[in-house]
Amino acid sequence: MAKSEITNQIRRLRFENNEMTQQQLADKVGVTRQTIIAIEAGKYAPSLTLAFRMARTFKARIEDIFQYEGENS
Amino acid sequence: MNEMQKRAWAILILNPFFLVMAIILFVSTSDGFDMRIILYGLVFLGIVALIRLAPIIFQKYLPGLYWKVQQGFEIADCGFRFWIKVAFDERDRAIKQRVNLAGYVALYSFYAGVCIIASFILGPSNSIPVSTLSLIFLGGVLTQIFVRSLALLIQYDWEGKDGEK
Repeated sequence: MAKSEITNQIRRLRFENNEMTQQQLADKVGVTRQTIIAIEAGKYAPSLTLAFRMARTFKARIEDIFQYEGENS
Repeated sequence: MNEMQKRAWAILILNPFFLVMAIILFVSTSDGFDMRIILYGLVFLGIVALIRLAPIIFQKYLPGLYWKVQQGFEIADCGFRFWIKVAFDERDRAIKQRVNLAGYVALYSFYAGVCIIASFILGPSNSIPVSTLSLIFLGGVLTQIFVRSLALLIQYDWEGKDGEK
């Protein structure tokens, strides 16, 4: 699967939040660990709902977690 | 590896096996057409169908177990997320939609291809035995199942147990 143009800071934010594991984050936002792995690796762009859940979990804004690296960014 | 991936691996391994078995049976009984060939084909298709229907059977006899797996996310929203592990999420749903589409495209292409090739080979006024239609039907179904499983594993990037390749 091709990498998306969206990069993210999930790995960094996990470590800044008491070294949260991928499984713990997955449980908190209601997805599988496989999905967290795919998002971290940039292979899957999450839905807005999931992005908001992650933002709420990390107590951060969505743009602090996800960045668009496409044209004119 | 989730249930869909496990089933896809099983089909990818079993499908060629059944295909080879069908060809061997076809060749071994091909001196004069034998209706048993269709029966064998239906038996193979039945076995494949049983494998594919296994989750539905589990859902019927173990509704709680399967329901938890399928509805984990919704239950998590109600505050019960600590005792339910999500096994099927939005990414799985998106992948399922794409692989279903790939399967139907393969099915459609197979039938269209067979019809066009048959008309080219046989010409406009020739005919094929009615019994061949059953084999074409089985071929289409097996192609659809095979392509669907292959597409699913490609979509999951051939990943293993913990998302590792």
